[in-house]
Amino acid sequence: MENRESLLKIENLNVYFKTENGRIQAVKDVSFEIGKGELVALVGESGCGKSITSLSVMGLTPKNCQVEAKSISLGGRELTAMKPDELRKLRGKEMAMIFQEPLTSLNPLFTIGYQLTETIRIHNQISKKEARDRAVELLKKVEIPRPESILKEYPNALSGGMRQRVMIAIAMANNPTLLIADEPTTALDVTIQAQILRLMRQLMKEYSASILFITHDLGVVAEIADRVIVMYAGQIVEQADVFSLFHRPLHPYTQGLMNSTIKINQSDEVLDTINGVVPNLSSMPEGCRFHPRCPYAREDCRKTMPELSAVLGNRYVRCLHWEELGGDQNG
Amino acid sequence: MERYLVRRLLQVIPVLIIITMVVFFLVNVAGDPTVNLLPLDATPEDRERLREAMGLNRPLYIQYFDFIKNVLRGDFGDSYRFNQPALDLALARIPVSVQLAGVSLLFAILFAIPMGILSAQFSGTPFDLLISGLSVLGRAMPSFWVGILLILLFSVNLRILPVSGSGTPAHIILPAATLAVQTAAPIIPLIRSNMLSIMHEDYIRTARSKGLRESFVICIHAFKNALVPVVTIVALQIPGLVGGALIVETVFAWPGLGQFLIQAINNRDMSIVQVCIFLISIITLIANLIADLVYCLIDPRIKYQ
Repeated sequence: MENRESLLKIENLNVYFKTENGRIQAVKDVSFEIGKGELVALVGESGCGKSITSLSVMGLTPKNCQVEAKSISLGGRELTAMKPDELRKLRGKEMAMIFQEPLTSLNPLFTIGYQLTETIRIHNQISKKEARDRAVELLKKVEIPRPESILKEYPNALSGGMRQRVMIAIAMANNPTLLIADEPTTALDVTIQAQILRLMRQLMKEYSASILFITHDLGVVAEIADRVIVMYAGQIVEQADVFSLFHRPLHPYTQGLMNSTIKINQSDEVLDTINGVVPNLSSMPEGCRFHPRCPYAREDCRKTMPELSAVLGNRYVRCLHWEELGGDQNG
Repeated sequence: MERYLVRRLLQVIPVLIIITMVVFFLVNVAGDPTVNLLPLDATPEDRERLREAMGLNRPLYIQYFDFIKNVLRGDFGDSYRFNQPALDLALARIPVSVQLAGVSLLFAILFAIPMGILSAQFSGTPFDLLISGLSVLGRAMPSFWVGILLILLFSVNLRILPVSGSGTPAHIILPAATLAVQTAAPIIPLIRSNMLSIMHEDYIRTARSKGLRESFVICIHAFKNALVPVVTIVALQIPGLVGGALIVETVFAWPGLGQFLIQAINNRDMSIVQVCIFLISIITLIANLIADLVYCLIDPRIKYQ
């Protein structure tokens, strides 16, 4: 990380939802950086704020969302200071996004060709013909067979994996520096998932883009990420490079996540789980947000909210007792 | 697609047969046409002679088959009143009605689409409430009353538009506006609710993530998806506009099919009534068929085999 130039830098991001019961906080004081050419995985359970974090960067949060940040900068440009129209012009060009549901992310009433050339033509002054050639080129890049005829198809003629490839082609159309992938493989079956992951890695190198990869799947993280950010209940709880994290997870939540994945040599029939459920956004526990579910929670955990502190060189952890817990030697 | 079209056209045949039955028997239970044709003091013998001359004393089913035979030759009989072929008289009224229907549909669509989109965009605001309220009001007000109100305002008080009749472009404005109120009223809430749900779809988020202008996302990506049910409701309204605008055409003395039908009913001019209902039915069938075909053009997921 240190030797990389920073591309995306988020400082003190707070996101609130306006609801009938008042304002509730979905993301609390999230700060992180993504280096150029780096693939950072953002990991956590549903509702931990990882998707909302990424939508905040894109400026695509729902209407009832309030985004406050000290700074969100992309390639040195401050996004929080931009007018909506300036930010719009960056979307699809400097930063692009692919989503979880390939089946519903493409407009069913427009051809693949239209949806692909549209994103090329709004950001480049080129003719329809040139855009079409570019689109064929892109479909080849994402390994779609018969690109010319696929351009004339509607999304319903394509499988989920193919549609996700089209989504990737749309996202990569204007060589974005940042690609945000929000659970891009969750809805796909495992073999397709592996192909898509390989494709993303390959395109990332080719276009020297950075990727913020959002997932809840630690298997995918191990396969693809350079660095991992673990979120719990709207906060970052741990941040580390992928090897250190899997070698020695420091936060009890990360440890719990790892224990609840299936291991090939596991002899118990029962899969480990983390007790309890993610706390409700409107009634966060006092002290450490994880303490009601933490097997190691002590008295001070109930009272003091731990800071995200730098430890062991370039790692971060939000736990009062991480040193004593030591972290299981995983694997 | 071609096979579907052929099948749909074949399906029309039984429907047409049923329509001829309904048209024929309804008119026959409506009363004895000789009552109107003969003077009040005509003797029963005279009446019987006329019935015989007109073939009205034969069994009903024989009369029906005769009717069918004639219809197949395009002969619906002569109008008692005009002594001319009923079909020709009615066909002459269709362009007049189509003109009114076209203009009113244009008014309705030009008003309903932007209002539907805008009230979805500003849902929950006073603007949305106003538009939704107007649309409820539009559906609740009977057209003869709307027509009379418009005449009062624009013809009697402001004196800027003719009260009734036809001939100049100014004549069409009030009847078309009256029909447009009825037509637009159900379209507005339909577009509004469609747009509201579509704006939460994943592909709208994708469109935004491409950096498209919000107005483009709304008017192209979202609106096209909101269109299919709108086509249905417009198709259902076309027959009512072309042939079924009985009251509006009568209020404004617009010489179309609807007014013609009302007059024929009042005069018990049964051939005219039959041919008018028959034509309106055919217009309905055509409108429905066109709607089905337009679905295909809008939505590739709708496929007919």
